[in-house]
Amino acid sequence: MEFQFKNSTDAMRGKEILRTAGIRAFVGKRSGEDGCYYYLKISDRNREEAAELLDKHGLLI
Amino acid sequence: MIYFDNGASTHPKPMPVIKAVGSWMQKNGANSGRSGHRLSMEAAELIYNTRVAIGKLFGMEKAENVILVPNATYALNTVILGLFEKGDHIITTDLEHNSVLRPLWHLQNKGVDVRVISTDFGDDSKTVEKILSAVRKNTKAIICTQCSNICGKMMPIEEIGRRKPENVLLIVDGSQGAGAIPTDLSRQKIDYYCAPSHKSLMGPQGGGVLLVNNRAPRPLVFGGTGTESLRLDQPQALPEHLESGTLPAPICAGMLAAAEYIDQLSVIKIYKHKRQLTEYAYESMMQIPKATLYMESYKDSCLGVIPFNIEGYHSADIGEILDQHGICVRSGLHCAPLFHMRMGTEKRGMVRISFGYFNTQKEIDTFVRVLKKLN
Repeated sequence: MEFQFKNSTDAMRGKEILRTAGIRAFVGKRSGEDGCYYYLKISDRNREEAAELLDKHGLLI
Repeated sequence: MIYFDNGASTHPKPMPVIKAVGSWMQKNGANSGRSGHRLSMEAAELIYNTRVAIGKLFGMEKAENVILVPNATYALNTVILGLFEKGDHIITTDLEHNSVLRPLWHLQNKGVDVRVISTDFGDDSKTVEKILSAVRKNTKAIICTQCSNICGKMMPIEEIGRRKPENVLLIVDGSQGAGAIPTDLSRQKIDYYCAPSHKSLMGPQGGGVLLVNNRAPRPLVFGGTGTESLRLDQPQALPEHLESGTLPAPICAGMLAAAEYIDQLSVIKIYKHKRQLTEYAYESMMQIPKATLYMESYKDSCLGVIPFNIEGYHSADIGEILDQHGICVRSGLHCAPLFHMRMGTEKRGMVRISFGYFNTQKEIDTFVRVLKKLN
């Protein structure tokens, strides 16, 4: 499962938020429609909890 | 050697800062925010951690609002040139550095109205009154140093922030105050705060921060950010909006180590130490015959800087004599022309001693002994 972010600051913040909640995430970067974006890759089993946390902090695009 | 030129740049740097820069350069030369490999991601994480650590020192919660810049001058230019238009009115003071005055002068030539108020050294409330009474309908900002680089006078930032009209922005030059004066942007209603890494923040030269606590100014520089690369316009999101080009990871490693060092030590401890040294130096220097201390009228609100002259000597001569005794000070002019004009020292200049966290009273004793021998 991947979540996309507009920049590395948001991705790193997201990683830190998930880490605090005990969810491990891998940060990566690749190109998309508007250019490059960052993503956090997490295990499928944490998908809902991670999405809720990232959304709560206004990080999801 | 005795180093009393910390107002220009602090020396020595804390050992963790020195180690962090060297060790980063040894282990990772990758470009943060450009590639997707592990070294680039490690660099991106370092930069994020730097933003968080610096932000924490100033009560900033949003890492994206901590903009990494090459120095305080760059930060000040970004704000001053990026916010105002012809017809706007800006208030500033006669204690400002050229990094504030020159961009303001540039704007003045383009139709921005700049009003310089004369600081009341002995009574901060009078200074605040002067600033407030200069506010007009078209006043957009008050730009003020937190602590003068030339005379060490701490300005009443908190009171200005509390009493200024809501729609007037408060821009603070924290070049001398950052890391030495407890600062909380939201509590003190500071909208923009500019600071170098290498002064009281005790980091390396080549780094600085612009803390944005209001709307983002227009960028000063446009270019690659590693994001939204297919768009030809500059990304609107912070920090990329104001950060084009490769960020200096080794400098950030040093800034991170410095911020952690200061956080552990506490800014208030550094503040108290610098105040104690200032008071001690003032009392000791009063014993030097023919010395003029320019900070007598505000000695209780002076932090870490003492400007002086000795009758019969040019300031440069004093600087040379002290250097021969292994004491580093700054002499001449100090990039704050309005203060020199006010004190009548445009030609003669001033000698400035400026303290850092590692200076001691014993060093002040040695310095005073050398000056006493002059007479």
